Amino acid sequence: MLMDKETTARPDERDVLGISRLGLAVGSGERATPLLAGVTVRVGRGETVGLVGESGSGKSLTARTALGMLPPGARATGRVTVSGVDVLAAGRRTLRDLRRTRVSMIFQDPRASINPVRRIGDYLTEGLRARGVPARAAAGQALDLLDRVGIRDPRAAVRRYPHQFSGGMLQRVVIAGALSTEPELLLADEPTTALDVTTQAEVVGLLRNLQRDHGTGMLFVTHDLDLAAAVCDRVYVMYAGRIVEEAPGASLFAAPAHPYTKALLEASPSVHGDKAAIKAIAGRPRSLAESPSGCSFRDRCPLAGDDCAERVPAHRPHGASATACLRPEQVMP
Amino acid sequence: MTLTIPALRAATAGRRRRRPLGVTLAVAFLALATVTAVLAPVLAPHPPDATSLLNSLAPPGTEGHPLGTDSTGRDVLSRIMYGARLSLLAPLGVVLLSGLLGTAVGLLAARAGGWADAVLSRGMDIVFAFPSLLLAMLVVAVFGPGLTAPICALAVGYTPFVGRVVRSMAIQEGARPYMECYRVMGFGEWSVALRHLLPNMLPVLLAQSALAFGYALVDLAALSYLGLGVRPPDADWGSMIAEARSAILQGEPWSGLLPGLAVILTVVSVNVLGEHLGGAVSGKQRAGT
Repeated sequence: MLMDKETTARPDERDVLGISRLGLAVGSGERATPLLAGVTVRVGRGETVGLVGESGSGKSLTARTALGMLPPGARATGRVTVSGVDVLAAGRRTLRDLRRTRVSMIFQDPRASINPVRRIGDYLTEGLRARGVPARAAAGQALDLLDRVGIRDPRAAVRRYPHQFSGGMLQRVVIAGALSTEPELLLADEPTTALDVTTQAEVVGLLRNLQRDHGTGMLFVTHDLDLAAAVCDRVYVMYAGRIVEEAPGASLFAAPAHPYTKALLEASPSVHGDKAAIKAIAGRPRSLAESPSGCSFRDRCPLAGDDCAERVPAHRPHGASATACLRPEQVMP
Repeated sequence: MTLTIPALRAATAGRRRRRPLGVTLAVAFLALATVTAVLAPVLAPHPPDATSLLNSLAPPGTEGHPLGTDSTGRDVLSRIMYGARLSLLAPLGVVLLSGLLGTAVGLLAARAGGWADAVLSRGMDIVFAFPSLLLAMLVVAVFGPGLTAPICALAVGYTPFVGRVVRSMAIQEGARPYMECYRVMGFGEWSVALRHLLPNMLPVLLAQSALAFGYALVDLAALSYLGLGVRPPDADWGSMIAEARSAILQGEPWSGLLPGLAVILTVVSVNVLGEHLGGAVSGKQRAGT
């Protein structure tokens, strides 16, 4: 198969997250619905990697497989390793240990991710207690964590309930909880989408600082291309359950190498330069199950030709990127 | 979260101020019943089984017997006070047992899902369809009279009341994102269910238990009335009504009407309280979303 000629760096045992050629489908036989195909993502130690795409492109699904959380009835192919542990083959005990110690996840809406009737202090100490930290030490660490994520007066904060915090402050609490186990990998699933823009910047800055201090690898899932390009060392662009482009964060804007990436960039408004019309992408986003043969994007792509229908394009290097497009040279920024 | 915090607080404060008179009366009556039951040996003017044939069927207001006496001259007030002990304790036992059983079955069904859920749910439907009073009578027929057997039988009969509610709530709460977050933090299904799911369901369980208490009290009184529950000379309200049958025919209804009134007032109070608790819970949920 053409896909085998991976130009992206080979998954490495030292990577905190190595997803290679992950396929996911629910159901079986005739009625199987594919969700992901050939997804390869790696996150190195201390690296920030973005996973960008429209709703339904499979970003969150990919991130969750790193925790071994598959949709009910789903079958996975390929290989997913977290710090060398094979997640897809791991038993319940191994997975639980992995989740308790090495991987943490932050979700979109902080208000939905904390039990509303428990105090903040309980939320923070619970994870620590589960790892065997004594109650008193856990309480001390909780204060410390709140201080580190910039919550004023941690002593009062641990006694408060989630509804007494603003969204941004609560997301800081969630981040504190996620970091309490000093994970090697942080999965951030649209951590700033539910927050307003100024809070967004603060939370992203906080995440970056904490990550740098601890050497934590971060997979940053977002649909905000600008944010991803600004924050991430490398960015993966997903479309219909496949990775269509991998590029360094810096060059994504300057030289998109896949028509979909370019279309996404053109579809987001810019505050710089002259006023320009926003170009919407024709058609609607496809899921993997309903996408056309060959390149999934070809029915919406201005550059598509007959050869695009033949097979799924392999990733090939173009400039700084690796792109799954047959004619990346025609994609002009 | 469309309401701001001060607005929410004002709403709950308003609700607190507008507590209906009925609820206050119900709480007061239940408190009174509990206190008299606990302190019956101290408060009762006569021993509950001291007979005095010369003074039988005295009407209420007789000197020394404020609520009169029954056909063997026992003081009705004292017997109602002592009877309260069994009449309140036995339904409590039913509620606790069925609460425990129902919670376990409901949680198990919700968390296990699939065929286990189907089996448990259909099992609860079958128990639900079977009259619990009939079940209790069968058990008494097998094990003989006394309170333990009917309490256990009624507890099994009431299990679906609790189990169905717990199951549906566990499914509903379990789908909330925060439950998933705890799973992501590396907690097992059961520890999440016990530490987070269960405490969050407690208000609804409490309301449901209050209603079940009323049903259990009536069912147990019926059993005692049929002579299948408490054995004489012990008194509970149901057996007192039964013993008053002949007196009622003789035109002296007091010794039967008064324990009946105690049953009615207790059940109504408990139901009013249960309704109020349930209403407060659903009201809070409405304000919270």
